[in-house]
Amino acid sequence: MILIFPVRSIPHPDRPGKVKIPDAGIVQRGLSALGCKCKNDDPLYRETKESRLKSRALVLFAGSRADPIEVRLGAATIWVHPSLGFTKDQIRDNWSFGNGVTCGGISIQSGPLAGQVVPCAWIVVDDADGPAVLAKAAQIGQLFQVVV
Amino acid sequence: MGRGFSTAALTRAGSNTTEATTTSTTAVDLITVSSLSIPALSPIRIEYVGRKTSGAAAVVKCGLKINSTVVGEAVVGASARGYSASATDQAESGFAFIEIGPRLTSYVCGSHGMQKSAVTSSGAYALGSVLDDITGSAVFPTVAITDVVIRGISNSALVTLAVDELHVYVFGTP
Repeated sequence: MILIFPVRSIPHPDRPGKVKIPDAGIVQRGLSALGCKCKNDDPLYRETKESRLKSRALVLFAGSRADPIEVRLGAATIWVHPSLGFTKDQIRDNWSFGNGVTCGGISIQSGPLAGQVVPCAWIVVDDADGPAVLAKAAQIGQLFQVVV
Repeated sequence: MGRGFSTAALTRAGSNTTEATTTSTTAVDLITVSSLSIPALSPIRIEYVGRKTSGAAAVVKCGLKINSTVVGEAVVGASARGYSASATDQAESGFAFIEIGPRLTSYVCGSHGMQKSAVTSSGAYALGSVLDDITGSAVFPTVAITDVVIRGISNSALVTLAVDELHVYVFGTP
């Protein structure tokens, strides 16, 4: 399950107009403190806008030039924080959410924000944990309001 | 024969200057420049900076997606397709650039690039490579470029990969 949250941004000290948003590693530690676990303990698993995918094998040796061969486990469940202004269907097709915490932006392909990259962050959790994680959405959202 | 010079040989077509970070251990769409309109025959240059945190002995790697085509997937074990850091448990930072030639029928792999990563605390060399496998996953689409996406992967949930200052330039055409 993918949960997408708004992020706080603050002015970046290096350049006028540049901003800083939360750091994924810090958020990951905060999630652990809340008792929430991402799927990034499984390096064979990722989720896209459309699918939950599992690689059949890890590519372990350098220079193999082989990409993972993935099988589709099923459809992805996506929860979008209502303040973000887009729906899951408006996300660019085949967008890869990976399996951990990511802070950045999502490219929007339709709707009022079409053509924009909307600053936000997302986490990927096991579908079975989804209801319990969603119950903590407000607390998780607070993690994305802290910018160091 | 006369020789002409242009003052607009390289034009910035777009950029994303907000740092993106991830702890994903599978490929994620990390940082994006969208709403581009770069003709298929125009050569381009993509550049960005990358870094990784300490936390575990794990590599981080970047890949490349053009529009909706993942041309070079971010794969831990694959050859370099973008910024990559060493497996040593240390904070590193570096730079990568990719140049892509005109994209037309039968000429769909024209690209090269380089990347380097160094120890953030000292500047000492950590990893560097020619990006010899940029189209290791798929060839370039022969249509106008609208989106440039840097994919990313960390080989440990304890190590954060970050990418910033993604700029896309277009070379002037004759």
